[in-house]
Amino acid sequence: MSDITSNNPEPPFNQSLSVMKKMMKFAFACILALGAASCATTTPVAATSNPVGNKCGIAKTTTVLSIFGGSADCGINKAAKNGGITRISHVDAFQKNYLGIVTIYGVRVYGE
Amino acid sequence: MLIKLLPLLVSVMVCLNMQAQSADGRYISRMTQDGTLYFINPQKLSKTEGIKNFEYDMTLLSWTDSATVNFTFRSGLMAKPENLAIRSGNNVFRCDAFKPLFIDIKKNKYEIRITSRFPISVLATILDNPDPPIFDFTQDGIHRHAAYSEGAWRKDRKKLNDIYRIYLYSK
Repeated sequence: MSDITSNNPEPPFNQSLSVMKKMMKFAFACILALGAASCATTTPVAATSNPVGNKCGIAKTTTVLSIFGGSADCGINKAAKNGGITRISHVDAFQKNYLGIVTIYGVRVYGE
Repeated sequence: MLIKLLPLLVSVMVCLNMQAQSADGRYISRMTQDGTLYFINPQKLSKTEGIKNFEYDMTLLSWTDSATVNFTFRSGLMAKPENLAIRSGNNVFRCDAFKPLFIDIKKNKYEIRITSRFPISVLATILDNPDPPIFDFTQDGIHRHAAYSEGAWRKDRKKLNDIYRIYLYSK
């Protein structure tokens, strides 16, 4: 009896169902990978009436799993110092995330 | 199920990250009253001698013919750099227009930030050369340098060349 049942091939409907399941898994994996690959955002922080100028300064810090690192100064003052900027025109904040594991935060200062 | 998906995820990730060879994300640009400002994001150089954490960034302005190169490094000596030059292959480009922006104390070392200016023709020559450029200077007579590794220069040179072409286009 058991020999007869184990020799029966899988019905076509079940075969297409398993192919469909594999395709769904692949699509899900791609979506996860796309979402987790890296994402970068830039958002406004402040703008003044000073001209845009010809200088740009950046300050950033890197964290791992939001636990390790992140001790560097990534404030506006540090970014302005790095760019040699004494009159700030505007400031943007940025964040870049890799796989949800490594995150870089920082600010970019423009001015003269 | 997650274990089965992991190799697939990793391979898709590798393919996506291969797109990281483009200059996108390596620079930002800003419109100003006089033209376009290109800021090339900081790049750490791994091969250093006598100093640590050497990082440089560059600003190109479409209405000028010079590049502002700012760099930071950590040193045990609180002394201003002297005799700054960039070596590229057999070429040595000396810089007379450089000065310190600030010196800060970081743990038991000094973090020194320098601003310098090089003609844009120097940048063009450096980008033409497959040999990694080397930042050279002295502190109290002691020689210091910082350079790209071969592989890092091969990748970054392509991106910098793309940015330089965009800069030329906007002049």
